[in-house]
Amino acid sequence: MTEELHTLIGAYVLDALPEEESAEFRDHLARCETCRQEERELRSVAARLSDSDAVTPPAGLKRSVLAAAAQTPQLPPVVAPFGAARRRWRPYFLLTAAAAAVGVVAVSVTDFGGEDRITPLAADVVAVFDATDAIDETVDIPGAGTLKWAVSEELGAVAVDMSHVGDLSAEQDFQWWLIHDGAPVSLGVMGEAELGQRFPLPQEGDLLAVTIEVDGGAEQPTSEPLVVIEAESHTGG
Amino acid sequence: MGAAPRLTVVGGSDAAPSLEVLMRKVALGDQEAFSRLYDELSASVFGLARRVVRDSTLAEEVAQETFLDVWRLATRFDVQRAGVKTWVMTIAHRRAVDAVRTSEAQRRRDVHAIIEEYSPDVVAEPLIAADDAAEVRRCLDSLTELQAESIRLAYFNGYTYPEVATLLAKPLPTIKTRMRDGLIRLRDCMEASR
Repeated sequence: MTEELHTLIGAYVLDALPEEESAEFRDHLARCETCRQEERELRSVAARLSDSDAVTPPAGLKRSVLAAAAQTPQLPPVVAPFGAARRRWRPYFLLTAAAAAVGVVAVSVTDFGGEDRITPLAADVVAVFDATDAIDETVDIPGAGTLKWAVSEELGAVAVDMSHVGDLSAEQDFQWWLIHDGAPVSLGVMGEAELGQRFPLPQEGDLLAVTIEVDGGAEQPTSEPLVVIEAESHTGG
Repeated sequence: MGAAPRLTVVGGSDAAPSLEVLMRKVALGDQEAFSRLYDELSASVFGLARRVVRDSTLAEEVAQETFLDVWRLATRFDVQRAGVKTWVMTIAHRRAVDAVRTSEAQRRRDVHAIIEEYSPDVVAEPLIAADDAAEVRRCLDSLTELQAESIRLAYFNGYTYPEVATLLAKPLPTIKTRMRDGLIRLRDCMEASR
């Protein structure tokens, strides 16, 4: 998949990617330093393709460019050179959670056998995965399957797909939390039949976490999160 | 009062300041530096625009937009990411491709549109050092026909890679691979001759 995507770098530097793929590729670049190095090299090659075509423009153009510049304010500098700062999403297991999750999972989540459950995801969840600007990711939860999630800045939403996560016992539910300034707020409990959920886009620095709680949910998280997703600022484009 | 930090121009010479030095001044709002940057790069920008949009009037618009982008975004230029000329040519190419795609869309809507001919009112002059241009041509000659065609149709005609694949009647993966390995071969060829 990544290798497949990476091949697009030639078309990308030639400005020959259709818009949707271009956005996807920029996202790929933002995560891959060696790809950015290749981009720099190939771009400087592309920039020379028209070396034989150079031709002096009419003199009037310079006057008009300088006059327009004199009336055009310059943008304030930012750390990101080619575009505005964007949010980036990545999962991490809290150090303690990684260890704790295994323990929690072992007693409470049946190992996922690899079969898809039949109930489809709710339409509002699917919409986020299908958004044109969606960035989706999959993360392994040790011993309990995989969690998928997607972020769409356009829809201002995050969606999670837990159809590949093992079942809980009848006395337990998954509960999602938004952790803002270190304080968890419940985003809702996932009932037995619910496989996905959609949340508003968190702010930079916020965390999304899922814990296993008693049936019906808890006021505050009582177990270490299985997965924590961080909305972090990064520079890209 | 301690000594003020000393600012030194790096890479400049008595003759002409480097593009990097000019860019730093442009970022500080120096219009004289911008004027010199224009002198250095306008032939390349206009030449590329004209090759892509095939219309001198439209090419002037593209060049004007490009230089205004350079002016506005100079504050965000990062020499670590691209050389000045590469950066400016990248902007110019995007602007040119946008213009050609927009005008294509307009033409498709307008059944009576007259297809504009390449206007021959400006005579091309060799403004890039002849050696450099010759090197690019020589390296282009080292590509396979499919690599060269894929790159040419994308870069100079502004086609997307699915459009190139359709024109050349080749599968999509073949075309995107040829674009990449063609550029890599060009890079290696240009590096080798340094």
